[in-house]
Amino acid sequence: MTSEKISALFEMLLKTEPGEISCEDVGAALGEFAEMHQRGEDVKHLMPLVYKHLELCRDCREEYEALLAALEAETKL
Amino acid sequence: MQRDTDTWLTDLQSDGEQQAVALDDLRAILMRILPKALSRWLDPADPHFTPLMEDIAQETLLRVLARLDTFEGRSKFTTWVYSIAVRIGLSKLRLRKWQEVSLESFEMGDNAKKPAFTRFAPRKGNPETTVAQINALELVMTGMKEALTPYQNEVMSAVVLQGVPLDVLAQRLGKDRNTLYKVMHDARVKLKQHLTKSGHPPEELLADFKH
Repeated sequence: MTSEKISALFEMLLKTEPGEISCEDVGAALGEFAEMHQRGEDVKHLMPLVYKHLELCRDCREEYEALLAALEAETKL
Repeated sequence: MQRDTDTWLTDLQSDGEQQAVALDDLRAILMRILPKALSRWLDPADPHFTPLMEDIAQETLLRVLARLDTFEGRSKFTTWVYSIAVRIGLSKLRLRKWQEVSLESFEMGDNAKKPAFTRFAPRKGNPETTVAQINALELVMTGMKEALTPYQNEVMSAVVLQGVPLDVLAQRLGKDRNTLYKVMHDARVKLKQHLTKSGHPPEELLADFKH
């Protein structure tokens, strides 16, 4: 166990709030969120629940990063 | 052939040749996009890379067809398809990476019975910082034991301390990912309240790790 993992747990606790949305809800909104990010829109304030979930869920965050890479690749097709 | 969202939907909802051509085109797009989207998680030089991309593309097409009526138009159609594809792909990659790791070797096994500080590797720093970090760790481990149910404790230990992906844990425990996320959320809320009530709010404990 490393200090980074404990530190990450404290960071997660600080960001924890009563109302959070599920991975399924985030999955349904991820395309819209990624396109908004790509257009330079303020996703943190426009879709705060998705943003918060991505901060707290590593699985969803990785999927978001892969989706951004996919959209980037699409521009080069 | 270039298609907009409406054309994709029309073609994929049709029968026969029109649908077959659209599926072939979508598969070709996925086979160009997926390697770039997923190369961070699997080296393209890996002999399994291309067969895996083909599997993911095929599974994505089947899922897209099955869920076509759930597309809400909140993004471009292809973006929606990519979001499905990367979720399928990363799920496969996570399960592949963790397939050799037994459930017993997650934190919920024998390792969990050892005192936490004996397995703790603090950052190199001054002795006072190290002591403060070990104390913070002990507070967390005690808090997890006192405030959480055994199940919440096991899930939090596996996901946060051992780094097990929710996807992998869900598969091993026969649960779905949403259920485990809810378990994690409830555990975080309870642990945060417990630490705060006991006079050690997370921001104070985190400060010991920022030196």
